[in-house]
Amino acid sequence: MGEDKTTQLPRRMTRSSASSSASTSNNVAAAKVTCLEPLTINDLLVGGDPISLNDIISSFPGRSSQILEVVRHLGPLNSPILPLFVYGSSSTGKTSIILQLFRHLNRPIVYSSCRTCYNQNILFESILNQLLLHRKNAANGYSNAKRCERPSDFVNFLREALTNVINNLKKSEKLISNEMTQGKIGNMIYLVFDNFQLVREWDKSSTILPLLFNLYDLLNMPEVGLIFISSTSPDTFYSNMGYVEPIPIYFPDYTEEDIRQILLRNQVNQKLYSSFLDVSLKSFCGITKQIDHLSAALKPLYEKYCEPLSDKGKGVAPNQEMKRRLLAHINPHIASSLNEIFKVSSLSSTEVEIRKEEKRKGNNRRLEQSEELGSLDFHVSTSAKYLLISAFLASRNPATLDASLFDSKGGSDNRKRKRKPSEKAQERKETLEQELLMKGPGTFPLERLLAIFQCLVSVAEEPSDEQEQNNDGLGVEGGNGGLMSDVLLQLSSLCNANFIFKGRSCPIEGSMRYRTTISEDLALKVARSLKFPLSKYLYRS
Amino acid sequence: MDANGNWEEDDDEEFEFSRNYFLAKELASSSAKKSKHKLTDIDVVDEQELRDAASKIEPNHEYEITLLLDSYKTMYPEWIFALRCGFGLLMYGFGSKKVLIEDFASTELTEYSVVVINGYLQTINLKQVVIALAEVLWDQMKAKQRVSHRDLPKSQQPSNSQSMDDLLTFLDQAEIEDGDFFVCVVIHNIDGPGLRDSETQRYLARLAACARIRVVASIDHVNAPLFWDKNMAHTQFNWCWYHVPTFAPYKVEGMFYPMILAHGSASQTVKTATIVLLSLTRNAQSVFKILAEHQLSHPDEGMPISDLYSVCRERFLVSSQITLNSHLTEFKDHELVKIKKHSDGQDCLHIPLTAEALQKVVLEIN
Repeated sequence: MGEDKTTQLPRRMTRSSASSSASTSNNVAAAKVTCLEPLTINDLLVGGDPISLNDIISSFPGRSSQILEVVRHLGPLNSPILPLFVYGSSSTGKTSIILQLFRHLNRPIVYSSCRTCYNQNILFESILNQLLLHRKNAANGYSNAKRCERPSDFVNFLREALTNVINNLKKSEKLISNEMTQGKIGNMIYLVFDNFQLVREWDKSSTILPLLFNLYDLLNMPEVGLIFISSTSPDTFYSNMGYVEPIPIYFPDYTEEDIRQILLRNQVNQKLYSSFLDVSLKSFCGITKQIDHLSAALKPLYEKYCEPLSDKGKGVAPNQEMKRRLLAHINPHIASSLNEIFKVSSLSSTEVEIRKEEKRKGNNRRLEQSEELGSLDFHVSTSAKYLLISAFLASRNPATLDASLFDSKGGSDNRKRKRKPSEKAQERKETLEQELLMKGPGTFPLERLLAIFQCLVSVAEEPSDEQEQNNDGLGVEGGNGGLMSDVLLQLSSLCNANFIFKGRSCPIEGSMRYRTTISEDLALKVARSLKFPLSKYLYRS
Repeated sequence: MDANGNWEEDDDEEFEFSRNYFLAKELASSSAKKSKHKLTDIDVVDEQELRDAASKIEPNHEYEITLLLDSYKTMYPEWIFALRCGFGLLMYGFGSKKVLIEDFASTELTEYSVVVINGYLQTINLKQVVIALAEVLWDQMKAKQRVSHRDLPKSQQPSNSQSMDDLLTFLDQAEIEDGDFFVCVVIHNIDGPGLRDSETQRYLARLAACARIRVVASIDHVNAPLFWDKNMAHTQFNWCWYHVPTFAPYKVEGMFYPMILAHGSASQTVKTATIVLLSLTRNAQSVFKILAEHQLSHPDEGMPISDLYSVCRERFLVSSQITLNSHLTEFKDHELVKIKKHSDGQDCLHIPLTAEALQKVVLEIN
C-alpha cells in the first residue's frame, strides 16, 4: 500500500500542475517539478514513438531473418526466455537491432555496455542504478545507489532490486489495464550486456565471466531475460565452470547489395547516389565491409562527385552523358580515397579538400627529397649512428661471418681456403638466406656489438671528422676510456628511444642480449648520411 | 721512425678488442674438444679455513700503493670544488676505492652532512636513505626558519608514509637560505648488486638532480655506464669522471659474494639461487616457484613429490613423472632442494632457505 502511494505521487502532482491556471509562478513551479521528477518504471523502456516490426525490417536491410529469429526467441508478452548470445563482427547492427526491437515490443530493459563500464564494480553499480531508478546528481554527491564490490553482494542486491521492479511492473500492469487501453509492457525485464567480449580481459582469476553466464541459474527468476552482445563468437569465451548455454544468434557480415541499400537510405537524390555507388562501391567493399567506415569514406567522395553539377546533386536525374562526365571527374580521386578509409579526419569537409591537395604536393616533395638527399627525420651524434649501424649488422648478419667481414687482419692464421660452391650449395645458401630474412632480426651479445662498432669506427676514422673529435672530447679524458663509457651511454639512450631492444632489466648481470628492429631502409639512410658503404657488409648470397 | 712506430702501436692496440673477440668466437666454434674436468673434482675446504688463508696473504708493493694514495690527497681540493659547483664525482679504476672515498669524506666534508650507501650489499632500502636525507634538510630548514621567525612550511615532516615521489619533490624544492649548503651522498659501488635494477638507478638520478644533494660514487664493473643514458649521466648525475686506481684488494666488497671453493657453508644466498634458476628453462623456474609458494604457505612441512606432480600437471608444466624427476635432479645438484622423510614416511621436498630469502628469490624469478 505504501508503494502504491509512492507510485501515485508523480501522477497527482502532474495533474494538479495541468489543472492549475496558467500563471508565472505556477509555470515555474511546474518546470521545477518536471526537472526534479524522479525516475519511474517507464524510464526502463527504450522510449520513442511506437514502431512496427515491418518498419524495423525495412530499416535494417539484409537483417530480416535475424530480426525474426530474435523476436521468436523473445516470444510473446510475459514468456520466459533462455539467455541469448548475439554475436557478429563490428558494425553489423547487433546493438541497434536489439534496441529497436525492444522499442517495438515496448518492454523494459537494463542496458549496460562493457566498454563504458570498464571493470567489474562499475558494471555492477550501473545495473543496480538503473534497476533502482537512481540518477546521480549533485544532491546525492554523484554517488551510486548501492556500493557493490563483490560478486556475492551484486547477486543479492540484483535479486532484491529485480524482485521490487517485477512487483512494481505487475501492479502497474493492473493499474494500466484498469485505467487505459495503452499497450502493455508486461512483467518481464531484460538485462542487456553489450560489448561483452571485453569482459574476458577484466579479471585474471576469471570470476566475472562465470558469474554473468551463471546469472540465469543464480537468480532463477523466470521474469528476467539475459542478452549478451559480443563481437566474438561464443567459443572464445572459455570457462571451466558449467552454465546454461546461451542461444547463439549470428549476425553475418553485410553483402554488397545490403551495403548498397543501407547507404542509399536518407539520400536526397536516390538515382544520382545510385550511379555514384555504381562506380565506387565495388572498390571500397574490397577494402572493408564495415558500414561506419564505408559511410565515413564515401561522404567526402560523393561531395566531390557532385562538384560539376550546378545544384550539387539536389534534384537532377543523371542521364548517360552526365554519368560519363561525372565518372571521368571522380576516377582520379577513388584511389587516394581508398588509402584513407581507416584514417580519422577531424577537419571539416572544405578543409579536407585543401588538405588533400596539399598532401599530394607534399608527397611529391617527399619523394624527391628521399631520392636525392636521403635525409633523416631525427638527429643523433655520429658515434650513435655508427652504433645503430653496428646493431643493424649484428642483428642481420650471422655471427659466423664476423671474422671474414670485419677483421681486416685476416683472422686465424690456419684458415682453409674456400672451395668453389657447387650449384646445390648455391641454392641451399640462397634458401638459408631467405629463411634468415623471414625470421627477422636476431639477438647479439654486447661484446659482439662493441667489436663490430670498433671495426666500423676504425674504417671510418681515416677521413677525420670534426663531430667525431667533439664526441671524443665528451665524457672521460683519454681516448679509450672515453670511447667505452660514451658508447655505453649512447647504447642506453638508443635503448630508451626504442631503436635497440635489450633482453632483461639488469644490463650487467648475466649475459645481456640486444636486438634491433630498424628496417634496412632506415639503416641505409643512416649509412648514407655518414657516407658509409653499408651494402658491402650486408650478408648476401 | 718514432712517429711511425707510435702510429702502428696505437693501431694494434685499438684493434685488439675486436680481433680478440672474433678470434675467440672462431676458435670456440671450430674446436670440438671440451674439458672433461668438473668443479666437483676440486677438493674443497671449510669456508673459515679458506678465509684464514686469504687473510695471511702479504700484499706486494705496499710502498708504491701508499705513495699513490697520498698523491690522490692532492686532488681533494679539486673534488670539493667540483662538488660545490654542482657536479657529481664518479670514481673508477682498478682496486677498492672505499678507503679513499671515506678518507676524502672524513677530511674534506666535515662541514657537510654525509649519508653513506654501501652498494655492495645485497639488499638496500633506498626509501630509508631518502627519508634520512629529507630529515636532514627538514632540520636545516627549521633551524633557519627560527632565526628569521617565519612560519614553518606547509609541507609535512618527512615520514615513511610519504611516497618516493613526494620525498624527492621535497628534496628538490627545499628552500634554504645558505647558498653553499648541501648534503653529500656517498655511494660505494653504485653498480653493486643492491642497486642494479633500473628503477633504483632512476631514483638515484633524480636524487642526484636535487638542488641540495651532491653524489660521490664509485663503479667497478666494466659495463657500468649501461645503467645510464646520456640524460641521466650528463644532466641528472652530472658526473665528473675521475680515474683513481688504488690496487687495494676488495676485502669488504668481496665478503658478500659466495665462495665457490668453500665447503658446507650456510644456507645459500638469494644471489646464488637466483643465478642458478635464471639459467634454467622457464618451466623449471615455474616448478621451483610452486615449491617455493607451498613452502611459504606451510613453513613447517615440506611438499610431497606426488602433490608437486599433481600441481605441475594441472598447470601444464610437466608431462610425465620423468620430466619432473629431471627438474628435481637439477635442483638437487645445485643444492636448491633437499629431500626429507615425512613422519608418515613420504618423501618431501624442502628448500633450504629462510622465508625472507625465498620471497626474494620468487620476486627475482618473476
